Amino acid sequence: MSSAIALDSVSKRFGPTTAVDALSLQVPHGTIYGFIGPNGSGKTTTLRMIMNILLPDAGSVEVLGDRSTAAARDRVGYLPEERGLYKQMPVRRLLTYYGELKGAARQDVQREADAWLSRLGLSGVADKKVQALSKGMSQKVQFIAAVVSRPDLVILDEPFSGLDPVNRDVLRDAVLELKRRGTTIVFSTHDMTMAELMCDRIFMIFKGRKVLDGSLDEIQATYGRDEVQVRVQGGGGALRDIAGVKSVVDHGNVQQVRLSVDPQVFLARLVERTAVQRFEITRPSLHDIFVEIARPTPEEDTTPAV
Amino acid sequence: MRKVLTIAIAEFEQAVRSRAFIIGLLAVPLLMTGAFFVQSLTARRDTSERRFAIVDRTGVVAPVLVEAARVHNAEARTAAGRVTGPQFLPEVVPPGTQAPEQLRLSLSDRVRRGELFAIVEIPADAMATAAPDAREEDGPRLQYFTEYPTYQALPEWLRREASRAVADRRLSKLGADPAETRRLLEPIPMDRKGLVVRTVEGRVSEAEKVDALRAFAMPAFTMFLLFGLVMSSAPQLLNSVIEEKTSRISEVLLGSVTAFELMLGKLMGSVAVTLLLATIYVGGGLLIAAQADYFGLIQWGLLPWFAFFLLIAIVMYGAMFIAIGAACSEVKDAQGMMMPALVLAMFPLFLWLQVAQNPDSMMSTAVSMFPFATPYLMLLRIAIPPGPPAWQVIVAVLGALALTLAMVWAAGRVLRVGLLMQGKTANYRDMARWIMAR
Repeated sequence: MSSAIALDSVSKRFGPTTAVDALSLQVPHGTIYGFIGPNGSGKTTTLRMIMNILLPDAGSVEVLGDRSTAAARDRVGYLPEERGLYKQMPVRRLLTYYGELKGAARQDVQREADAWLSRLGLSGVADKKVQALSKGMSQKVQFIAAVVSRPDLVILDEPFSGLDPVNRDVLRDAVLELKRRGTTIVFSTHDMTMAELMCDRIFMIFKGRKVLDGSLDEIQATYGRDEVQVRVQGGGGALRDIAGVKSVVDHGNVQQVRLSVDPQVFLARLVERTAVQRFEITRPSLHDIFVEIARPTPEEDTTPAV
Repeated sequence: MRKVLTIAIAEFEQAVRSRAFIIGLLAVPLLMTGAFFVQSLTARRDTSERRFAIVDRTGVVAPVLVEAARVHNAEARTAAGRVTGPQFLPEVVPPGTQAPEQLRLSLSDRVRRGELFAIVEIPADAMATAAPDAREEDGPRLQYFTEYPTYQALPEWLRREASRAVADRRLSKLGADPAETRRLLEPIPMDRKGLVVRTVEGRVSEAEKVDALRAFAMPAFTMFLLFGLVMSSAPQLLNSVIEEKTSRISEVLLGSVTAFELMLGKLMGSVAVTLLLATIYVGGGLLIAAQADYFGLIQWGLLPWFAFFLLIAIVMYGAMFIAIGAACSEVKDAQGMMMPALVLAMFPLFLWLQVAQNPDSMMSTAVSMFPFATPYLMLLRIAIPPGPPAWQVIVAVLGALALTLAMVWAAGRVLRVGLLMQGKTANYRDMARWIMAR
């Protein structure tokens, strides 16, 4: 099956800065694809190139099987990082307008808009002007604007930023609902927990280059440090001199053990020696991996931020 | 094309629904009637009493002025005694024997105290006629002293009445009858007419009388209406582009349409709004003309030209303002950027009188063929009979069309880059670079 999005060594420069550097990427149909990366690493530029708002300097962008992304544009919904709504327009009119701009018929858009408005608890403000909405409400309106034309691919740039936990859950359920309908979803986020919980695949861009791309399991396997957490009879002393133990951090009741052998081998050796009360292979969280990759090196720390 | 229409409809709706549109719609007629009303009100409302001193060194002019003031005051009063104009109250001050400077000072002090409004001095040699070869400033002159140099009614009246009194004396001295002489010097009125033609029946037609209203006011009104319509809608485009840019709507829009489609949609919406306004104003004007029996004054042949030049001007100037909006990242930046554009849009207005008075001069021909001015000045020349030669109209129209297309093309290029540009306002050099970019 072809990919919903395929980038092939795409580069984009703004003057002397290279925002995106020879980036290749495949987003499979029907998946939720998470874009992570520090501020200014090229996320939004990449999304804008997928949207055909920016043209790459080199490489090719294929969206929904179409090389000139202009043709596929009508089948892609987009929620930009900063909110773009006409303040003076009534909500329903605005949604109809945005939907019609995607080439959808007015009746279809109106029906879809009403369904989403009631689903997200916004029916009461459908005829109010956008400027009368709270931040959370306008965020949800912006989301509806991105999906009201029933696109096959939805690109959400920071959809959860600035939302309270309740609205965050509402929007998360909405995104999952889209996935159930078969929509491909790409979203960028700074919320690592959200990315871990929702995304089928995660992609990390850092300084314009791809540094992570794969399912959470694959990424954790790559970045796994082969650590286990154990609780055994005899405490830390019982762990001494077992072959394959690189280091032990003794927390008292539990010990964090770094291994140079397969955890299963270590478990067998441990069982021989003492009674095991708890044994857990720990994996690094996405948060830890992100921080490890993006943490500035000491010499970078002293240079001013660009 | 469907998307362009969708944008045009949304732009039109937004513009027509906005409070600014309703206010603008009412503002023009309201301002016009208001100004007219206030003017006619204040013109008649000068009913103040102007007490002034006459220092007459001839000894003969003062009594004539006093009598003239009495007649004037009586005329500025209705039969019922209501005052309708300024009342002139002369006070004859005998020159006496004191030095003229002393007298002027004491009278000036009285003006400062508010007892008098002004002083007029009639020099002793007022009756003498200047030598034929003398320059004008050598002759006798009236002296008028006041604290209010801008008040015109009293000095104008004094000059007129004193001149007449002096002229009468001089004529009498020569043995002529002043009243008779004045009648003899009455100017001959002149009728201004158009040319005559041979009618179908073979007779020579009656020449039509050309009145000032038709010859001057109608063309000017047509041109200023065009200007008002263009100025009420084209700069709006600048604001709408800046709003889309600052609130990042442009990003959503560019995810759906190209910058060029967006611009075409905006221009079409703007044209629609202006045509609506024009229909309301022109329709209202025709209605008033019909009511006031001025229907004969209307040059129906001018309507298509008006519509055509309106379209050209809206698109040409609209594209220009869109480009400027795309270059600005804040509304306040637009102020400085707009100046050159406004100068281009306004300079034809400063030339309109010269063009109207001399529509076929070299200067009029040249400026009306300058594409930025063509919509206004060519319309003006067409409105003034007999109108410019056809080749000039054709050249000017082609030039304006070419400029309009070039503006639309250039604005599209500026919009493409400018819409996503945040934080920094581009200057005209940046814009030129965007236009020229590959």
